[in-house]
Amino acid sequence: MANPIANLQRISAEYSQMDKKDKRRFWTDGILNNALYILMLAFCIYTAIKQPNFVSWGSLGNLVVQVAAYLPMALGIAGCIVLTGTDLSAGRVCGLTAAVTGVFLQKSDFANKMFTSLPEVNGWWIAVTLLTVIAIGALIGLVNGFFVAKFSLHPFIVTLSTQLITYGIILWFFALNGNNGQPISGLSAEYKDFVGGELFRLGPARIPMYVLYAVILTALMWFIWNKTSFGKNMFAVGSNAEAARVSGVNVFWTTVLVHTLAGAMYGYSGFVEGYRAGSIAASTGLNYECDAIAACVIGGVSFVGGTGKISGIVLGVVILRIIFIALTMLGVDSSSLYIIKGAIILCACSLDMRKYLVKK
Amino acid sequence: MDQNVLLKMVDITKTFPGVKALDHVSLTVEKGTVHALMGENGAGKSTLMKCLFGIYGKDDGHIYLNGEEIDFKSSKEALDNGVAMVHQELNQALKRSVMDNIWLGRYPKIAGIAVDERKMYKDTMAVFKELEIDVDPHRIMSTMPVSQRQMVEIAKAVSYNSKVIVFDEPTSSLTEEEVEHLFKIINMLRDRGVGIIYISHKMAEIKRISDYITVMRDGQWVATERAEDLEMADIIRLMVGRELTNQFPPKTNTPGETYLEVKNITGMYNHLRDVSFSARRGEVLGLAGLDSSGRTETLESIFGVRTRKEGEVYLDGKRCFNRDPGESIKNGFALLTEERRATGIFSILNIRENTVISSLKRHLRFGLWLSDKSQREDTQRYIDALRTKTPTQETKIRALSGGNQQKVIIGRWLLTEPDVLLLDEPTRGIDVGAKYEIYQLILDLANKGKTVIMVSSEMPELLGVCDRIVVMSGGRVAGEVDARNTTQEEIMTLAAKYV
Amino acid sequence: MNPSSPEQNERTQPRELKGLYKGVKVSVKTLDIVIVLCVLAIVLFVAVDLQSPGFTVSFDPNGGTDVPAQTQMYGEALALPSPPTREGYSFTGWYKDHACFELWNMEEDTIQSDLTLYAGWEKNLS
Repeated sequence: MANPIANLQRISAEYSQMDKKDKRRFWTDGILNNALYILMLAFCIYTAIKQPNFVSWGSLGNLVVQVAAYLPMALGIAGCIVLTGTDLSAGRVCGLTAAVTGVFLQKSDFANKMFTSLPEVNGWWIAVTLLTVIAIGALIGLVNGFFVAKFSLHPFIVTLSTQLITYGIILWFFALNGNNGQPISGLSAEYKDFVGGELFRLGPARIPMYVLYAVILTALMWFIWNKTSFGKNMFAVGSNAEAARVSGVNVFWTTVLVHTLAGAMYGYSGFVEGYRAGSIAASTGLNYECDAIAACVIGGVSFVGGTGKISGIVLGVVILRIIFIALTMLGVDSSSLYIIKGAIILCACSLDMRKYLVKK
Repeated sequence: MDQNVLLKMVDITKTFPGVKALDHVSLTVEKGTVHALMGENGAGKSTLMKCLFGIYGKDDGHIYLNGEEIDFKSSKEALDNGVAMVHQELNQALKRSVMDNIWLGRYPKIAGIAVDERKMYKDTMAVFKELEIDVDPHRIMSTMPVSQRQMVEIAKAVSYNSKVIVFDEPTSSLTEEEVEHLFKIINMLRDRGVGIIYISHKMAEIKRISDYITVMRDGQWVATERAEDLEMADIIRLMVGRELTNQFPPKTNTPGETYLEVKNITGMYNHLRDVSFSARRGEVLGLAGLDSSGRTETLESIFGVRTRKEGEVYLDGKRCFNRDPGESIKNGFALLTEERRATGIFSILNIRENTVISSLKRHLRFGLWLSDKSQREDTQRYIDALRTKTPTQETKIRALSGGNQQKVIIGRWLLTEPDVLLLDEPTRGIDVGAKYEIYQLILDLANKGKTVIMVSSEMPELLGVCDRIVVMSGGRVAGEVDARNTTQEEIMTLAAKYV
Repeated sequence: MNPSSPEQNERTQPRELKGLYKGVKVSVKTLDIVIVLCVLAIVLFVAVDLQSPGFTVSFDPNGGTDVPAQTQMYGEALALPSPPTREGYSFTGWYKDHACFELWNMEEDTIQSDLTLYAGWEKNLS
């Protein structure tokens, strides 16, 4: 597995020994299992022909930026999927934390500043904000995890409830202090520099700081998944919760922690999303979890539970983003993109099931 | 063709990618006989049956039923033609009533529309009466024990007027009494001229019930003999392809002083009552009893998987609370569960992950990360020590045979360095050859001074491996016997004490 | 005898799944059909959508005279229309948000999706 060249040689050696029937099967299996990759490739080629500047440093930079923005949420939600669950509250948690970030870090001389008594924005205050939003995300994740683990409720139900509750809190938050639901804008320059300051340039595209943060988070998650007892326990619980319990794994805490960690990731996503949105509305973060879930499933984090790799998640996010960037450049409008997203999720889940069945 | 021949399978061949699962296997079943099909796991018994029922298509060969060539596409088609199977894992609509299940897919109708419940009830009762089954046809399946559900499955096969009925490990979840009833039914069916294929691992049963025995090995036909011409040792020799002089390794362990004491365990949500016993260092203690006599519950209560209402566990005179498995592991306990698939293996994880999951602390470096190297070393040590057959440590555990999976799980527990091993049916669903190795392993552990408590439904196994046997009945301890000078009859009598 | 039946059986036999799909029983063949249909649907949808490509840029005059919407391709710079007029106010430019805080930057901003721009007004000091 480790060596792709040796792997390829092995496959070609096996292939040459197959009879006609097996060969046909090899190709149908190959095409179907990789349907989404092939689809992506087809879109890319078509877009490259239609829009020559699709193949450029600029759109590569754009891809990196978008991947960095969507990756943290996918990394968080992947843990829930490994536990054979999912998390529908991710997008709303991201929206809430984005709003909190916005309010905390509005310019002090901004006319519509919601809380004028907040301190001047400086490095310390940004750190406090970051920790606060991560804590808010983690708290909601903790609630999710507690109800899932303690009462064996299906994660769909629990996270659907928290999704609605969080939306209620968002609406309530936007009505605070006579704000009356107005979007939050006028973010301070220090915050914009911290999140979106230029890391380096890739052709015409600016690579912002949050790309670096996404790389750090990915490394951190890789470490947690592969090198810690918590990570091993998570896979064990996802694979067979009852066996994990008998083997001495604390299933309750593992489940709670996975959801809490996921919540913390959404909190961070909100922190970045505040910058990306520029002006934060109550609808910020809506349906982000769908993108994240789709990316995970495409990347091989199976709903069967107990499997998944960080590299797969990154690949999943990249593929989804490439498809969307290609479609956007072709001029497919955003409402159509939702329909396409829906079809992609259905397709990805069917692929997921197919892989499980064929492997057996 | 012989008048008496009911089913004839000739030269059946079936290849899976890389494996020849069946290699020109033939099987002939005569009217009014019980034909036992034997072989180790993976010998091809199930594959042969699946070819008969069209679950797999055969690559080559012919199947004749009453002299006519057949090729069923599905088990439904087979059933309509009088070939039925009573599965090891029952496939039933659990939320529906007994008679719904029997007549599913062919409900008697009034005027072709409404289901004729009364006729259904009457017909069901007729079949039940014939088979002497005492079950209310209106009862919901899920409220009945597995044994009764199996009876319903048999009744269904009979109601189809089946000429050939295949029993796949029918007694694996039945009590002695239920087994007797099953045999009575099988004998009745035989007298009516039905051909029966009986698949089982249990030698004693096979000897009792069958007329012919066909032995398979590695996808090949080995022998077909009259049952009375074969001794148990012959069957084992044919199955494993080598002489197994002893089914059990010689007992070399010497029990020391009392180590584990279990006092008055009463279950919170089960029927355990006042279970007390003790075990010594270096002793193999057996727990015998019928199904649902509380053996599994006892082990799980000691280990903290089930909630105790009362009762104490003492290790070397010190009290252990064992509130949850984690605490029990810390106290030096290990539990090998009965249902390997459901509560033992992590089927999609690899062997290394399956091995180290209970002992992750050993591999922790600076309290932060896990060392890959030490995980690999530990896994390799136990693959070598237990002689687990696997290509690599990264192989998914579901790719291994039952015996090797069991070894991986035993390795998992040995890594926690336990003093007390609780083994629940350690040899269930394992080949004869692998069983011997597991017995040897148990005795080795006892030799090292560990206390082993072993639950088993196979009486000879308990007699062959244990030092003492505690017999349970109806959730209570019915008695204790010395394994060296007791008989199966004595144990059975005790097991029936509180039923 | 049908030589291809073994594989076919393996592919058409519905089997039980685990995890979130617990209770789902489906065959590989059914899934193949779903996958192919999904991919076809996506391709078809994109093809139909590309019959009228481009993004709509609408202009909210915020009380001024109406400005017609434009259709532009991805990545193009916006050709700003002639400014609207409003009695008693002077036009300050096109803004990205309703609160008229973020000005549309002709040099840096390009079209990435459907877009609404808001007219900014300043009261004349008469």
